[in-house]
Amino acid sequence: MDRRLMQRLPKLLLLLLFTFVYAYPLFMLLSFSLKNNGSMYANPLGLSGEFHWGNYSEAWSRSNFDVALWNSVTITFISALLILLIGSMAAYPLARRKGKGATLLQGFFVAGLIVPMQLNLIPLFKLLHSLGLSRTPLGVIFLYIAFGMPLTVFLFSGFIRSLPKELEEAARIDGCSGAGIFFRIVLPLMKPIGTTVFILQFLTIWNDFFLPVVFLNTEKLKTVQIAVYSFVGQYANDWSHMFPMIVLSVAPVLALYVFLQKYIIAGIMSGAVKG
Amino acid sequence: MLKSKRFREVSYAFAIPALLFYCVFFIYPSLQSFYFSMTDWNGMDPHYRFTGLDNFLGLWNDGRFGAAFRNTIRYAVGLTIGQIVFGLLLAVLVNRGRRADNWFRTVFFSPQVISMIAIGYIWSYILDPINGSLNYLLDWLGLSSLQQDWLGSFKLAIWSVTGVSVWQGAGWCMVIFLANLQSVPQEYIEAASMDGATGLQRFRHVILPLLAPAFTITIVTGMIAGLKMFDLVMVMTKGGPGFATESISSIIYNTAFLDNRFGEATAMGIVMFLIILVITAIQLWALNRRGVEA
Repeated sequence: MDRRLMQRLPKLLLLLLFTFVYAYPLFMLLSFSLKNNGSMYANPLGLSGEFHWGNYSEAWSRSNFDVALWNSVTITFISALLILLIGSMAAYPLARRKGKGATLLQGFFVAGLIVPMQLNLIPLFKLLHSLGLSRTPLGVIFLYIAFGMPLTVFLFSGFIRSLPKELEEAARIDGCSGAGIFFRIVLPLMKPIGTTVFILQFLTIWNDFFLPVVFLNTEKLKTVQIAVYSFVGQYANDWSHMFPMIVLSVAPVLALYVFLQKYIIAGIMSGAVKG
Repeated sequence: MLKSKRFREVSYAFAIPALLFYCVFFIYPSLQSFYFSMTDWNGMDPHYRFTGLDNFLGLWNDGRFGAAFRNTIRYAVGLTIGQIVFGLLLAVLVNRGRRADNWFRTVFFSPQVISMIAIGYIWSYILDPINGSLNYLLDWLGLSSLQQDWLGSFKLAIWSVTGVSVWQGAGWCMVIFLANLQSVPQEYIEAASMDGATGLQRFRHVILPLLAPAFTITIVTGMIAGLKMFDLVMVMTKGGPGFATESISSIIYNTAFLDNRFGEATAMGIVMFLIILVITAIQLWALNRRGVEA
């Protein structure tokens, strides 16, 4: 018995060490979000002290967090939902039709997986400007939809191919239209992959910093990530208000993670094919 | 007969909205970038000149891009190796078939859902030379000789940033390796034990070779994530001290939006795209070759 314990001990200690390395930053974040600057410096590990709940309301009002939250929520939900709708529609003929055309079109979409946003950033800047969409949430939503297509079409078309065709054929014989078949039969069957794609896109867009810092870097249009970023620019080293801001930006996704862990891990992993 | 057959095909019309967004906001600007990379456009002036390959050649005379290029390679290689080593270690540690394993996995994977901005600021504080937890902890452990200015030192800063990205990415690699480990047939391991192989030998000679698919995925994604390194740099160091932590992405942003040299910024984007293209080609080649062997 003792020998077995001795064998297991190094593994267990390593596990505990890693747990500390992963849990501590989050613990510190939470604990420091409730401290003032003085008690933070007195206690750099964040283990004790009184709670300053007022940090949150002050950080919230000083950064106009309600504006940022509203922007992030609307941009993220609208983009992710439209990606689901438009992407699933596109995947349907690609999965069901045979022949060169479908293969080529599929390749055309999937090729986008290896193009980094950094490549088309400057032309996009010009394009949005000439369309009157620069510095608008709508412009950024359009970009998220376009950037979301390669992965979404790839995942959806693979899934539709695995669905039996019989249901669609039966509906066709009953006189259902093409659109009717898609929206009433195929789309409901896509729930599992749809959940995965929605979570993946939700996290990607919510956490994105690159497009907002280029296109939405103003007081009115800022997303949650920009709110955190620009707060530091204004109040450098004011950590006692910085930490509540970070908690506010992270809380929605962490809450989702706790409840939907299985789906979230599946979602993030299915994004692995993206370059 | 012909009519009914045509009727049965799913219409390509379903793909029109996706094609519209994809072509207008993705393909068209991507192609255009090759043109802009050969101009001296400053982002506003409608009059710009065609300058051929000058932007590309000029990149290498600019010490800043050279530094960013070298740093980016370091980020990519450091992140890839680091997250594979720690990801594999974590996977082995939580692959014991116990209930607690699931809890540990949840903890190690959690940085994946948090934004890089948040992670960058949290770690900036931990690594702060004066108030930060890391130096405090080292002091408390009696290791004050190891205290460093983690983000302010020319030599260390890039590895501190890389370290944070490894912390973020290791849980991701862990899940990939776990999926792969669980597909290793139990009989192989039993057979090796019967032949008298020790735990470490079994791992080295039986399990490790079977993890090749997981290695391919984690190498490629690690390289690409490292090449795109942006958020952490912007948040933790702003490219400094000097250009010591500048990455290609951070320098694209600065060149375009602070220096108004859009042509050069686009040329940098193309350099990055070409590197990703080569890495992807190698990945496809590796996967195909394995497919033939199997």
